[in-house]
Amino acid sequence: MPEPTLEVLKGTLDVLVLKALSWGAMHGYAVSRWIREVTDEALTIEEGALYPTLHRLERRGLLEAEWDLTDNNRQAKFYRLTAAGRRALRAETITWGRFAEAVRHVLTAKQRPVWARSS
Amino acid sequence: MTNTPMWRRYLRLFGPNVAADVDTEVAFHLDMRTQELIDKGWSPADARAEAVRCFGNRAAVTAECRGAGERRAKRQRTTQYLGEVRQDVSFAFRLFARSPAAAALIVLTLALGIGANAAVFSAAQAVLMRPLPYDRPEHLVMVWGKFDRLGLPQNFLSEPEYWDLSDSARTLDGLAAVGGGSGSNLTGVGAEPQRVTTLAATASLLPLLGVQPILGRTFSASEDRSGSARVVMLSEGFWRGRMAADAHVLGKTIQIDSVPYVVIGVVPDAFRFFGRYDLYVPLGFDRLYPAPREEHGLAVVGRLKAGATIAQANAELGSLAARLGKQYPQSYGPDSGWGLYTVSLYEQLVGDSRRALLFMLGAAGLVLLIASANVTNLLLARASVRERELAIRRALGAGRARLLRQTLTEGMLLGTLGGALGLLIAWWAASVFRGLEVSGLSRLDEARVDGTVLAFTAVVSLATGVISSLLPSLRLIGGRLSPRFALGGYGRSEGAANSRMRSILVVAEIALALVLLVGSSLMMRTVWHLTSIDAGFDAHGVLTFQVGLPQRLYGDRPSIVGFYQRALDRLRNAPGVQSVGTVSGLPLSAGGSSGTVFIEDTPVTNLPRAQAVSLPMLEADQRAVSPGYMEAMRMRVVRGRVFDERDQGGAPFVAIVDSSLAARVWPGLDPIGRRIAVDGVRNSNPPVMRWRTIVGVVEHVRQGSLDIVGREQLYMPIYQRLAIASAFVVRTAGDPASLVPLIRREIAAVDKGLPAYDVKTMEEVVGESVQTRRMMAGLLATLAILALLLAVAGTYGVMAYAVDRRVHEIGVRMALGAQRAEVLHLILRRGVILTAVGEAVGVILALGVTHAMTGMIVGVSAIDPASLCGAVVVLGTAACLAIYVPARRATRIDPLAALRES
Repeated sequence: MPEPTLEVLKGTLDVLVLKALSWGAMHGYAVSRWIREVTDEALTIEEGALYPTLHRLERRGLLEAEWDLTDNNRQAKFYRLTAAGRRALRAETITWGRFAEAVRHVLTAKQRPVWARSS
Repeated sequence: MTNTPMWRRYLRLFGPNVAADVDTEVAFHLDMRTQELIDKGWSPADARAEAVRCFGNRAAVTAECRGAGERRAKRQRTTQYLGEVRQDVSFAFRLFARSPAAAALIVLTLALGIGANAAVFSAAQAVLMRPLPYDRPEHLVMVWGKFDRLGLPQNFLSEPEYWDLSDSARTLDGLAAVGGGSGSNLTGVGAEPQRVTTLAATASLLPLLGVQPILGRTFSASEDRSGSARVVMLSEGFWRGRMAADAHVLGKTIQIDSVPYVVIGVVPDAFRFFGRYDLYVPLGFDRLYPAPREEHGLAVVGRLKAGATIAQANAELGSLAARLGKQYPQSYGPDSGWGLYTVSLYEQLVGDSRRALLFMLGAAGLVLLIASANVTNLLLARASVRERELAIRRALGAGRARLLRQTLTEGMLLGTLGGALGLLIAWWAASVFRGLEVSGLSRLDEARVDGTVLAFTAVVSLATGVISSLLPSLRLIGGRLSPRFALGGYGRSEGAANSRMRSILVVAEIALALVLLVGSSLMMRTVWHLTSIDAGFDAHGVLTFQVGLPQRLYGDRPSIVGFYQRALDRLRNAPGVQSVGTVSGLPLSAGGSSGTVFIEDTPVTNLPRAQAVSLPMLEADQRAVSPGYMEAMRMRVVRGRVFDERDQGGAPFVAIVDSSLAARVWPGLDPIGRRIAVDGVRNSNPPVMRWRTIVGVVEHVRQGSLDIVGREQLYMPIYQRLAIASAFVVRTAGDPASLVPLIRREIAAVDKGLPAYDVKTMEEVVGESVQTRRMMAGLLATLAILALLLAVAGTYGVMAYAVDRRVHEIGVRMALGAQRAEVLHLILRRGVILTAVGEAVGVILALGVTHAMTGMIVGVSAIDPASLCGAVVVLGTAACLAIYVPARRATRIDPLAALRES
């Protein structure tokens, strides 16, 4: 299976991050690890690209951040969804569902259109 | 705490160090990733390398995150700041809403103070600060001649002098001249003949000033020659008002004094040079045959060469004048004090108004100070109520700086509201100024609330808001944080420090108000003095109007004499007219001229002598008057007789001198029968004087201005010294204004093409001559009344507040047996002492300040006991009333109720 292009990923990353954080507050590393594990490392992205995304979402008010201590007592910046972030996730989920459904319909079409010339 | 956004807590913990935050975050990620790989069995070094590889471009990510973070932090700071300002503003509004009456009082007080300043500023700006509407106006200068020893410090130039200047002045880059403006009769526009004002100017005038016509073109040099085609430029106002802005006006012909002129252009109204005129015509110099060197009638304006200064120009003109003096000794006698000099055009136009207007600005500033003091007082009163609130807020952790910002925001808000209301006052005042038509203050009719006035008002409003709330703020915030304060009750008498500050403010208000009252009293006494001055004539019951005879129709002696005789006859016999006469220049109007008077014989030796004829001479005011003029004006005859019908052209030449000329030339002697001359017999060489025998002496008349005595005067019969423009004076027993239809009818009956214009009562003429001072007096009086009201209101406020705070104490005193009189005395004492101290300080200040008014005030000393006493009494009475009302209220306090309340 060929790797998806970076362009697709950039748009996708937002919704992946929102989804990751829907489980609760996480720091950046945890978000990246969750995405890797859930996708079975199918989406191999540069991990660094996650941080501008996190900061952008924070600026747009979809996330809020707080410095806190991790379980092994290290300072880390924890992100959590705001109410707006939760709404955005819901909307994106529906959009993605529709998109995937539409693409699936196209790819699984059985009926040949009448205007197609037979090859 | 749930309302505090997360980022604020985050900022408090770490401060806005965005760069370090990003680094920490990235380092944490790499460490965790490395650990993850080590846990999977990688060697630490390989794990680290793999973690870094997976991360991608670390530098780019860090930079992107830092940039975004910094932008965000900045926005957050701004948001926070704006949020706090909004908080302060809405808090201030809530506070105002809690005591709307107090807030309204403060805003109104500020509005009066700020409005007065904005109004005076709008006038000062129009007259003083707006640049003259010319190209590079700072380089424009007026060029004047002078005959210092003949009493002519500023004299017009003659045509030959204009050519001399134009040929040899190296410091001047261009030169233009205007002849005296004149009135003309205009026909061909509308049905009726009209009187229009005309200015004759050289072709160089408009290019020199850099004024572009709005239609057509300016004069060409060839049109500005004697005998060339007659062309005219219209003023914008005339073109719009009387020709309905006719777009096809160029090339049309209009008749000026029955001579056809072709319209070539329209001049914008912003251009005005020595007043507004309807029409502009070329002066028409003749280089080959110039007018006589002694005929001084040109106002000359020049442009300084780049880099040249007025001092350099004056030095050059000084030596030019000396050269001319040697070259033409008969024109410039060695004893005449002849010279040439320049004055900057700005100085010429606004020089006299500047001091007066700056003085008015100062007066308005005093009113604002009083208003500020009042507001400070009101805020102080509120401060004592708010002490508890602010103490609690401080106990809850609000910093001093934050609280100061809160109280100053309140002040600025009050200032802004007051300023907005003040602008309305200024806007109204500017429209009043525009309508005043005070000729002494050029461009006052351009006063308006424009950007500069807005900016000035904004700055003054904010500054006033801050200044008047600063003391109360510091008081509030500087107070010690004591729990007793926070929990203590209301109703104690005020603290000593507060009370002292309040007393100082009352003293200051009263002192400043007194200064303004004294100043305005001096100004009003000046106007009163001037209008009641004995000008040498009686203006009451006299109607005046001007008539100008067009030269084309009245070109010879019989026609002019005929006109005057017929017109005077008709008017003299008209119903209601007691006496009538004409004069070539009406007193206290622009007209009138002076010239050299030669004296046949005098015992006085210190008079200058004319070289060519070797006669003593002096410069004297000269007027041609008709029989009946002196009676109509009720001039007082000291000796001899007035002119009558005997003094015709063919009769022996006679003259009447005034008492000052008689005293100067023939001290202690009888002038009757002695001879003087103002001109010679034509075409005679050596010159033969045309001697006139003195037949009478009259009292001196203030011809030019009421506050200036003026030079010696000489009168000649109009039939022996013809004037084609004259003012008629008509005396009646009744209301002079009721004669207007009659005189128009009578003049039309003599010549229906001649309009009678400038129809005014003589009392109006006298009034207009003092209109600048009258306006100053009115303005100053308005400011002084404002100051009086504010100071009295301030005093009342402080006294009423003191009584309020002492209700309990007074209750106790009365319960213990104090009499009402004792209570009254208790309250009155402080107020009266404050008023007395304030007035004493005010008198001292006034003595210093009124010195600045010398020159503006006439007939009254700057240290005027009557004005001082009057002001002290008026202000003292008003202040005592303001003290008495609350004091009386104190005596009505019911001790039982007062005690029960606390």
